Amino acid sequence: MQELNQQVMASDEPIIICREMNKWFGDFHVLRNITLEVMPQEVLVIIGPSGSGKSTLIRCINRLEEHQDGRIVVNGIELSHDVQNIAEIRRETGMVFQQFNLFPHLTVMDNITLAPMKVRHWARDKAEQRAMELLERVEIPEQACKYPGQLSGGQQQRVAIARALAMEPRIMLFDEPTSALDPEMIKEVLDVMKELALSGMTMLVVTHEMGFAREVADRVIFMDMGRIVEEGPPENFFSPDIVHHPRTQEFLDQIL
Amino acid sequence: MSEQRNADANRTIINRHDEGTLPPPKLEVGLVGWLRQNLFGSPADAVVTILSSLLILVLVYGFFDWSVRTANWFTVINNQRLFMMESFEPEFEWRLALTVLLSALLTGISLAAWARRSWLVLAGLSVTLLAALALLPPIIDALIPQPLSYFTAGNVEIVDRASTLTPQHDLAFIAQAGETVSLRLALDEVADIETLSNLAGFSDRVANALANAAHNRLDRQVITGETFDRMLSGELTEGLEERTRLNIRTFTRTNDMLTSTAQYVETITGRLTATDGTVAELRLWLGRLERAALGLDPREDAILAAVEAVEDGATTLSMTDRVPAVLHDAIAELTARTLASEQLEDLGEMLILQLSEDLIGQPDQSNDDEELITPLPREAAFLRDMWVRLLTPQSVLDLYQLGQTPMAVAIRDAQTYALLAETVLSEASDSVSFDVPADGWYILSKDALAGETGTAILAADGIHPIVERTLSATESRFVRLTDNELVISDSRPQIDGKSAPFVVLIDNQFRGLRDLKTYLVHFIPPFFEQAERLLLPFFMTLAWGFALGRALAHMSGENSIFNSTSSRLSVLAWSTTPLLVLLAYFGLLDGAAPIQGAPAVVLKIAAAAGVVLLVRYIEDWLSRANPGEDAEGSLSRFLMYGWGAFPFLMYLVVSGVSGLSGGALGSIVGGLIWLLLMYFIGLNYRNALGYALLIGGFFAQILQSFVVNLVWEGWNSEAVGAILLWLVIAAIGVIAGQRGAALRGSLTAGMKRYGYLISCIVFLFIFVDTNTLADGADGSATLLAGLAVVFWLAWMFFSGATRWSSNRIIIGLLLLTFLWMQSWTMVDRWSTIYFVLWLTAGALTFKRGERAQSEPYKAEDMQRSPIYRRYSIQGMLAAAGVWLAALLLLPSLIAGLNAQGILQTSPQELLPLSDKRIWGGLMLTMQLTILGVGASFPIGLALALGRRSNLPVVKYACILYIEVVRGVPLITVLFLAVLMVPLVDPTLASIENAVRAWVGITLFSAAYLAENVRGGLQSIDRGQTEAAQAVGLSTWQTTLHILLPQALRAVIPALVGQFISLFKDTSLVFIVGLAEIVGIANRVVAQAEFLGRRQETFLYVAILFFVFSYIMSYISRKIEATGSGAIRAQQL
Repeated sequence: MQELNQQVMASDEPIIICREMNKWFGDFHVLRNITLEVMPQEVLVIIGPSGSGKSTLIRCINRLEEHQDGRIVVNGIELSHDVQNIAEIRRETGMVFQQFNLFPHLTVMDNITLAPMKVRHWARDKAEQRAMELLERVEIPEQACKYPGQLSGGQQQRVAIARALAMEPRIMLFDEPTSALDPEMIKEVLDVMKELALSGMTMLVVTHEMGFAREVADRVIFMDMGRIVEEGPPENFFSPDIVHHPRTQEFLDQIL
Repeated sequence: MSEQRNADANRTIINRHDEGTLPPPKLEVGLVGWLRQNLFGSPADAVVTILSSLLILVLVYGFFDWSVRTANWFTVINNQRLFMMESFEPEFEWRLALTVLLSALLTGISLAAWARRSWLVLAGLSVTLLAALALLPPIIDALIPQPLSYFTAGNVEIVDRASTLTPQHDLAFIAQAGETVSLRLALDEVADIETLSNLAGFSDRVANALANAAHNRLDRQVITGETFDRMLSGELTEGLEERTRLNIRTFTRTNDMLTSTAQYVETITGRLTATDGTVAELRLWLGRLERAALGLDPREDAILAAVEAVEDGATTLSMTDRVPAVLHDAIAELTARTLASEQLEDLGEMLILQLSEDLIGQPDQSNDDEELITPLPREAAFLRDMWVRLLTPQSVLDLYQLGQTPMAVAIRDAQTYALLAETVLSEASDSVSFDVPADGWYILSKDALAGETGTAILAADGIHPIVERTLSATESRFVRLTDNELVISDSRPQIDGKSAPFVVLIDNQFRGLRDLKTYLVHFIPPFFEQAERLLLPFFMTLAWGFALGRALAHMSGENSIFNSTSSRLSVLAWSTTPLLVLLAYFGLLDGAAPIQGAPAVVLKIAAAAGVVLLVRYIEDWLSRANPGEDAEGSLSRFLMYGWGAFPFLMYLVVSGVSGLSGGALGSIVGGLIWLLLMYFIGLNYRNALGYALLIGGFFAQILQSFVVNLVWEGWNSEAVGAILLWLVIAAIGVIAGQRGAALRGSLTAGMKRYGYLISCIVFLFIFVDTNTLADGADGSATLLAGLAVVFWLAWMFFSGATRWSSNRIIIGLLLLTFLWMQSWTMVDRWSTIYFVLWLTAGALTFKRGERAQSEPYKAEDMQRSPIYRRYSIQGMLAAAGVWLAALLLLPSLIAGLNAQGILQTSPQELLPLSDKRIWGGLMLTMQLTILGVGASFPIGLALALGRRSNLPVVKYACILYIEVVRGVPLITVLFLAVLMVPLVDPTLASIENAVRAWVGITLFSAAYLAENVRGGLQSIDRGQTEAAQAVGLSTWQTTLHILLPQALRAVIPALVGQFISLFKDTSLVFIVGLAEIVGIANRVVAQAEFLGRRQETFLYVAILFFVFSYIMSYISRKIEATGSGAIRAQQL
């Protein structure tokens, strides 16, 4: 981790740049003129009602969805149709999904070591050593030989985080990581994410956990109808004294 | 009430009383509980349980009863080779054995690698099976004496259906030294019809004919001459009429003859002067007979007419001595036969003609001389005789005269025909014995005494049936069926210039009921010994493979089994013992081969050392091939490759490889050394030496191949000129490329891109054009190829590469070689392809070496591992040296060996092609199945992936293929493959039907597999792909590591179901003239010896099919339960 921090410290450039980015699903304009910059080590929380384009936005950043207009530059690499660029960006970007999406036919250990071995060409012993470190970090080293089907939801999501971290990414994308979890398990996942944020990882988090946003985020973005409606530090965002955009106010009134 | 509830609602209730746990009621657990729950849960359940148990019992009993008492299992045992491999060339049988043993080895290693827990069970089962196979036959042989063999002797013709048989004069048999052959007249056996018809021995056809006649035509009672006499004398009166009536009813076809004959007899006796009481009694009995016969249908009018004619003749013509004799013969013939009424009509006419001739031929006899007819004793005897014949068929009649005739028997040596023993068997002589002096053929001669007529049934102990068909034989072998006593000889024994009729001995048309003892001693030893010959080597190889697999799975780094002397020794013993036993079993070292004594010991030690070295090498290879990967993982990969390659290896080994001569083998060895070289060059590619060697080695390889070719083709100046020209062009090309590389920095991006494009087009153009020139290739083609070098370098030059990418070098070199080979007049298309395959392999090895060098962990490994360090530079140089030496020596070596006849290059191939037209039996079934599965699986995968492709052309091509094939029955595909294909292109007609059927089955099965796999792919959540992409896996890696494993696991049952149906569908190839196992079954039941033995044959075929299908489905269940499937099984 220390090594990573040094790398990140060295750069003052934004690690993610979106410029006037647009995306359509067929005729539906799902992302409208998004412009966004994320600095290294920043924790950015994206909130908004469902269908507002939060998930689509972060999925565009690692090219799970293709944007049709504007530019996205991640870690200094332009996202274009060049397969090499896409592969390089994906190597630097980890992602955690709402439904965990662990590989059910592989053990926890294999889930974590597959990509480092196949993409980064690590030797198995090195990959496994790294995987064990990560599993200890997410506090489930004893589950290494089990299959995902044998784990609880919270454990699965922590494995998913470990899997994403195994590639040693510079950016982590979280797509509603706690939405599919029982209340008791949400905390264990959020704890891991907090720890990750404190260690200096650049994170983009789509979530409905306002507590997490308030506590950990450096910046909060509120999205509605495919636009960034409001953007600011969490203390401002959740403060009742600040005058919000009417849509934001409406959203906050409903959830708080 | 409501108040209390309100009070409760306001109070927290805590239950502090813990009752503890109690055992369940006794009737609910254990065996009783199980019975109550599962079998007798309700009255209806109980009824169903009992009824179905009874039904099962009845069926099982019926089956075993049939199996033991009546079934003739020699149908299966005698035809085992036919079932297994039809008429596959005996000299190639070792190839089948090799593939079977290879599969056993792979199975053993697989069990070690994948089925760790159940191996004890499997081993236990195998040992039990083998012990049963090995021990039961000797035990049975020791406890139960062999049943006697029965055969007829004598010179009387016996009627069998529509033909007559005479007992064989001589019989040949195999006997072992020390055995005793004893012979006697079978007096007891033929005393009553029950025993005779149950003669459960190996009887010859004549004896069988007798037994058949007795069994089929008589209904327990026989009227003999003796009975008749006693009837006449009044001794037998009680119930006699009833019995006679019963007897008459058994003659369905001759009832009218009875009536007519009775009338005739009456007529004759009417004219006789009734001088004694015999005739009166006879008349009385005739009346009774007539009354009995009246109840029967008068069907055979022709006979009636015939006999009436005879009657007319008898009344109008004088009764001479000859008339009764003629009638005797005629009526006897009629009664002995069961003929169609048309034939009877003809016969009747013939009878009349014959009678008329007989009578007209004696015109001097006066017609109306009544006094001539006197009651002669001869006529009374005739009537008695006829009476008996009417009620008893001819053959049975002869049978009842058996045993009375003395027989002269002699035993002779089959080779020299020297008399060894001689005696006369009669009722008085008890039995005669003969001690066999040596193993071999003997001949038993048996005949009636000179000047006498008669038959007898002989009972022989120590003469067993013989077959010449065995599971594997390279020379003519004759095997005694009962105990596998073997005699190797080129021809059957000759008796008077004719082959001895030993086939007759095994012709066991068993008609009676067999007891369990006879069943055991007849069928179990020979069948088990056959099975043992097949299964013992299989299981031993399997065990050896298992030991090897365990050894391989347990070694890694410091835990290697080779790290201590004791474990080294144990591995030596462990892994070589079964192999040596195997070798001994087959007699490879000591038996047939001339190597014996000390050389054999040396060979065995060398073999043992070889095995250890092999294990050692595999260990080294596995641990080096993927450093860091654990041994078990490597072993699994190795097995995957092994099983993947097995079908094709099997096919190549069994069918043979055309053109695989000593020279070709030498070329392969040279190629392998070259591959090694390429790897080390790859390891050193970054330095100048490696680069030089790459280029130099490449051309040198071409040179070597050329030189090897010249050994056969002979030198000519043109060829040498071509080589020199080629080397000059190549050198110019290399220099040009290096100049281009130096200038590359000053080029603009646009120049690079267009230059690259234009080079590619020109390159392609030259490539295609030279291809068309291939036939008339000359100097211009070589020139074109030289030009191509320049373009190749330009291509690399303009392609924008930042360094000399090995990919481009390799692709370029491959294309160039292809080009150049095309311009090479003395090389045909096939050797070009062969050559390009070698080059591709070389390129891949090179890449592997290069990658090993470029990957950091390999570099670390090189630091750590002495092998890498040692081999990196020195190894490469050494390999280069060896290879160069081979290059120089190989041609002369081959030439030298050729001269000594050791490696016959052109005339004698090492693996000559087997004639696929005579492939059949289980072997063909398995070939079609294994090859079909092996080939259709990858094709099916490709089709399934293609159908999901985003590229419309690929997608719709796959959809079209799948839908068309699925819309057509397999039988049509087979017809197309076999009948239509030659019409499309006559050259394809030279491909054997077996191969075409295989292709048809494969293509058919692939379409279904594709749909199964597609179903699995569609069941996978989209999130899986996204997650795989998000961690950076490429599309190909995602498919290979994420999608396919899950998809295939989901559809294992469907896949295996498809494989099983492919296995069973192979029986359809009979329509294209191939005799796989069902075809063989049809052929077996058409054999004269086993005519119509369908139950045994098809039961055996069904068992074979079931065993293999069950193994497949068992494996599929095991695979389902591995890995993540184990959890799914738990959750379900």
